[in-house]
Amino acid sequence: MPKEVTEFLTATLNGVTLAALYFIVASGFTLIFGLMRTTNMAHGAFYLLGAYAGYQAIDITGSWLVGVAAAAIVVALVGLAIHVGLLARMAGQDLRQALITLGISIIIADLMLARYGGVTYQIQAPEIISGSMGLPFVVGGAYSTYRLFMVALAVAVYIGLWLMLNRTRVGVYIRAGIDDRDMLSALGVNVARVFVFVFAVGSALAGFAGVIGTTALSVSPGEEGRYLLSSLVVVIVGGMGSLGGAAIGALIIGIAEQVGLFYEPTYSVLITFIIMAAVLAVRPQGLLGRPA
Amino acid sequence: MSRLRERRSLLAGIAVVALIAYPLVLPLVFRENSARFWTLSIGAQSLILGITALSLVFMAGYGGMISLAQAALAGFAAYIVALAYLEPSATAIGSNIGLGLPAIPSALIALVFATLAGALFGAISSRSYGIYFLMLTLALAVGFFYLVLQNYDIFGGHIGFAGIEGPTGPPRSNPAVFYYLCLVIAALAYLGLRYLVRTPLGLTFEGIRDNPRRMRALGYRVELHRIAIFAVGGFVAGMAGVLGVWYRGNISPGVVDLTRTIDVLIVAVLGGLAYPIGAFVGAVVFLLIDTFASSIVILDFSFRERFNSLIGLGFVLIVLFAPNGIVALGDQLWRGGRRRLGRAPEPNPILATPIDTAIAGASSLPGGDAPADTTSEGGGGAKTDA
Repeated sequence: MPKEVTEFLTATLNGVTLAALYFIVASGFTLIFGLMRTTNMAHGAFYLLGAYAGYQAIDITGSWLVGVAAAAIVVALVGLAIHVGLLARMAGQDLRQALITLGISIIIADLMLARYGGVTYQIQAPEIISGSMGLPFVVGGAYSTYRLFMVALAVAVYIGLWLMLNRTRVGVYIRAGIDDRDMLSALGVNVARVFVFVFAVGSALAGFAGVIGTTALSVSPGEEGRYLLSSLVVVIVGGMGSLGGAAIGALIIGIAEQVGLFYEPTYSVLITFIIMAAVLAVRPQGLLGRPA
Repeated sequence: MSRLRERRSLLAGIAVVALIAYPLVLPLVFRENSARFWTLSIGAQSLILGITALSLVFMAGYGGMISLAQAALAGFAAYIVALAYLEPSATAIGSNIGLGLPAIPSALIALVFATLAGALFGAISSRSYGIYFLMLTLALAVGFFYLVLQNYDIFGGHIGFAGIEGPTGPPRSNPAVFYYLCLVIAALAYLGLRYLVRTPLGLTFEGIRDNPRRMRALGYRVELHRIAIFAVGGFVAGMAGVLGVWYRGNISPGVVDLTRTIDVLIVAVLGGLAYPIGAFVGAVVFLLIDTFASSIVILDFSFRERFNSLIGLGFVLIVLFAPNGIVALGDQLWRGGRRRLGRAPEPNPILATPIDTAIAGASSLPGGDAPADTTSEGGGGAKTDA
C-alpha cells in the first residue's frame, strides 16, 4: 500500500479512537442535558476529578479495574452532591445552573491543582490490553491495542446507554421526561428521583472517561477545558440531548481533529470550528437534534 | 422620584470626581511604589477588565446574549495590535508578519478586526439562543485559545508576542497618564453604549431580546440585528484588548484561556448583568479579591495559593444568593432606606429569562406566541407540540 494511504488511514484511525474517548465524555453531558436541560459546565472538571481519583486508587490497589470503578463512583457521588445540594433547587433556571457549574468547575480544577500539582500523570493500561497489535494498513504495521480497546468500550457504552434508554423502565421515564416532564410527573412518576439517577450516571461517565482517557493520553491541569470544549462541540454538532448525535458528532470531530493535525498541524482547530459553523448554518439544532 | 433622581446625579457626580482625582490623591497617601500599584494594578486594570465586562453586559442586557467570547475577542484585538505594531523581525517565530506601524493606527486596525471577528462570531451563533448561545460562544472562545496556542505562523504559539508599547509609553513610567487614557476610553465605551441603547436601533435590540418571534413578525431581520449586537460587543471588547496589551506590553495564549474567559463572566455577574455600571463595580471587587486573597484567612485556612477557589466560591455564592449582583444589592439597600423594605427583590431579568421563551425565537418552533414572563419550570414542555 502506498505511504500516503497508510498515513491517511493511520490518521483516521487515530481520529476514530479519539472519537471513542470524546463520545464517552460527551455521552454523559448530553444525557444530562437531554433530560434536565442542565448544562453541566463542570463536566470537564468531572473528567479531571475522575482521572485523579482513578490514578490515586490504582496507586493504592494496583488494579486498573478498581481505578476505573473508583473514579466512576467518586465522580458520581460528587455529581450527586452538587445536583441535590445546588442544582435541584433551581430546576428550570438553566442559565443559573450553567453559571453555578462554571464556578464549581473552577473550584474543582483549583483543588486538583492544589492536591496534585502541575505535573502530568499517566495511568498504565493492564497487561492484557497494553502493547500493540498487527494491523496491515497502518504506518508501521501495528497499532496500540489499548486505543482499539477504547473504541470497543465506546461501542459498549453506546449499547449500554441505548439499552437503558430503550429497554428498561427508567429509560421509559427518561424518554418520557425529555418529551414532557410535567406530564410524566402528573402520571405519578417521581421525576426528581429520575433526575438524580440520570445526573449520577452522567457524572459517572465523565469520571469513567477520566481514567480511560488518562490511560491512553495523560492528565494535567487545564485538561478540563479541553474536555469541556470537546463535549460542547460534539453535542453542538451532533445535537443536544441525542445519544446518536453524540456518537456522530464525536466521530466527525475526532477524525477532523486528527486528520487535520496530521496535514495542517497549526490550523487543525480551525477545521473543527469550520465544521461546527457549517453544521449550525444548515441545522442550528445539530445533526440529530430536534428543533429546539 | 425626582429626589431619587437628584440623589443619583449627585452620586454620579461624586463618582466622576473621585475617578478623576484618584491617581492625583494616591501619591499624597502612599509611597511611590504603592501609589503606582493602586493606579495601575487596581485602577487601570479595573477599567480595562470593566470594559471587557461592559461589552458582555451590553450584549446580555440589551440583546439577551450571554457571550463567553468577550475575552477571546479582546485577546484577538490584542494580537492584531501586536502584529500591526511590531517590526517583522520582532515577530519572527514562525513567519514575519509584523507591519511596524505606530501605536494609534495599530489600535484602529485592531478595533476593525475585533468588530469583524464579533460579526463573524455573531453570524455563527445568531440562530442560537439562551443556553445554546452560551455553549456556542464558550466553544468559540476555547477554540480561539487552542488556535493561538498551536499556531506559530500567525499568533506566535505559546510564546505570543512581547515588546508592545502604547502611545503613552510603558505604563510603569507614567502611571497617571495611562490611567487617564483608560478612564477616557472606558467613559467613551460606557457613554457610547448608553447612547446606543436609547436610539431606535437600541430599542430594536431590546425588542429582539424580549421577543424575537414577534420582532420577526413585525418585519425586523432578527439574525442581522443579533450579528450587529455581537459586532458592537466585539468593538467594545476590542477597546479593552488594545488597552490590555498596552498595559501588559505582551500578549500570549494565557490571556485568552478558559479562566480568563470565565473571569469576564464572573465580573459581569458580580456587578450585576443588568447594570452597565456593574461591569466596573464588579471589576474593582474582582481585582481586590484577586489581589488580596493571599491575606484572607478563614478558619485558619489561608487562600494564599488558592485564590481561584476563593473566586469560584464567591461566584457560586453570588449566583446563589444575589443573582442580580452587587449593584442591585446596593440599590436594594438604598431603596430599603426609602420605605420600600417590604418589596420583594425583582428577579434578574436575564438570568430568569425562561429558556423556552428565549428559544421560541428560533424560526422552527411551532406553537403560539409565548408571553415573555412564562416560567420555565417544565423546560421540555414547550416542545410537546413539535
